[in-house]
Amino acid sequence: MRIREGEIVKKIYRWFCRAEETACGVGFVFLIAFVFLSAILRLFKFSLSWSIDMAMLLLAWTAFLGADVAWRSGQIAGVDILTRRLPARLQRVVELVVDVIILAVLVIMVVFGIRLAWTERVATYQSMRIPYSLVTMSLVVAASSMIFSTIQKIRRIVLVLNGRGSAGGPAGSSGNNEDR
Amino acid sequence: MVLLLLCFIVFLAMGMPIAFVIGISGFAFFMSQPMLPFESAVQMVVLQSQSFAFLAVPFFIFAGNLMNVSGITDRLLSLARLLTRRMYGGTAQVSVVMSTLMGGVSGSATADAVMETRILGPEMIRLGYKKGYICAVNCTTALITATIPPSLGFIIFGFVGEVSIGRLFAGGIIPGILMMFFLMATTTITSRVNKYDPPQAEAPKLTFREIGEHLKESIWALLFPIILIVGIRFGIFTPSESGAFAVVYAILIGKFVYKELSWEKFRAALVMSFKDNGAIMLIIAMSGAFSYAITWVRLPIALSGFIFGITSNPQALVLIMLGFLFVTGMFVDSNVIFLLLTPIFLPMVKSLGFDPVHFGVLMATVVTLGVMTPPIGAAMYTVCGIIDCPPEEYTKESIPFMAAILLELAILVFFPDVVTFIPNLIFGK
Repeated sequence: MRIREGEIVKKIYRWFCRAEETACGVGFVFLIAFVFLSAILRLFKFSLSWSIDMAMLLLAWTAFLGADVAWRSGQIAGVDILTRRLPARLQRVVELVVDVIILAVLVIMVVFGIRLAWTERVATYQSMRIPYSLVTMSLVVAASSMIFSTIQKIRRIVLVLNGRGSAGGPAGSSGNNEDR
Repeated sequence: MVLLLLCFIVFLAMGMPIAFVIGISGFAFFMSQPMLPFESAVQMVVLQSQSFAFLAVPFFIFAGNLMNVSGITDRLLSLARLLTRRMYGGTAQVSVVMSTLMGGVSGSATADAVMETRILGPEMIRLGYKKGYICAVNCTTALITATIPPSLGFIIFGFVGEVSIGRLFAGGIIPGILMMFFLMATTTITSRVNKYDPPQAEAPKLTFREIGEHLKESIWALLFPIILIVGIRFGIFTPSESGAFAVVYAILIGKFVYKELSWEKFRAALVMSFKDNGAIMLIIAMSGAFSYAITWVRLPIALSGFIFGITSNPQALVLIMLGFLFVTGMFVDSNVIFLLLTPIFLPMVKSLGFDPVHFGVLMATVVTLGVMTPPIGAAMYTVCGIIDCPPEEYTKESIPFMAAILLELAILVFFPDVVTFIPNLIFGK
């Protein structure tokens, strides 16, 4: 039974990663379309007052969700110039400490982000009837998703420290993983 | 403040990603100050992403990635090969010219360095170039790409320092072309010394007809920076919107002119772009609390007082600042430097009577150079990883190229007109 449950969790997680990537990609395309169209319309002396606000909202969402995808695929890395001189086991321990600190900060960000969104809930955009806290929620959602990604990372390090599993290798199903 | 710096150094040394290092240090400062509510630290992270100027960042990243898969790169490469056919160190020269041509479509030095090493690296190994030299040429010359518009460094500097991005774009043209000549001269000298890739005697002379034929193919890429600056000049689009035009332009050229852009390629470029954008925007967003902290403790005033105390000669001061930026760039991420040091240095430079565009072009170039310098340089590590070259070898071989770049920038400090001539011509004084 346990194994089946694990499989299901994995499947849900993978589905969730794909959904996040799709949302991010679609948001990105819409962002470009919005800015392009509003510039074109302005040429014809026709202005969309809400297009800038809409673009900024989409920017926040695509940026933070994109950051999570990048984080999960191992693209956001630190500088290992000092730590790589340490013995392999100690390196993993340092990584573990770093990831646990990041996890704690992400949790703090989610908690305070929700509090902030709650206090802002009545404020709406001037141009659109959308609550302003939607922007703040982009950080909350992305940080929550990063919490999952970070737990995955921590789990992998713990497995390696226990002598099981292999080091490295990005989690999730985040397509091509070019290091750039 | 001690806590902030301590967090910064300790976490950086532990190998924490820079976005979190800068974010956590900023948060730690807010926690230690009872006067500052912690909610506002989180609010700053969100607010930092809400700037219209930053829209240009994702757009130009995407445009560059699209151009790379739409066939523009191949056409520029064959033009570069043609132009350098009879030169000493021919293939290395291709890399220099290619970076210049790519400059007009791509804004990222790292992306350009990686692309060129992938394409030219194997060929250069076969021709007998040393690995360190291959990496040095392909990596350092990519700085030209970051100087010729569009350029991500200019966008971020222009946003933080409130300097016209259109003017900065125009100001990068001459320094970028000049850098090409400096680096081509360096390539000629170094490859003659090392006896790399001597010119083939039988290679036919360049004819105008041949150049004309190649130009017809690559004209769409070469026209792009001109369209960009003209569009900004006549108010057709703002610098932030120009990025969206760049994306649409890349799609149209790739789909209808070169006919190489497929749905799969588009999707791959899209995923790569939102990941790159996320990584950069995370740094920018997380720097919010940190930037606030250093202003809160009046660090900019203390630092500028210190620097003004050294000398009062404007050129000497700018040289000191650029030297400082070069050294900082060896250790700290370039986006972080723009975000933290532009608000400190730019007012100082203005008070000395320096043109902000002049300073911006120099600062953006020297800071971007940081991704290519040891001990910490993203472009350096990626390029060395591609052909499996030890970074020490790269460092040794890159010294003449770095020297040439620094020499060029030092000369430019004394000739502001070389930088500001085109911006003033296009946008007026």
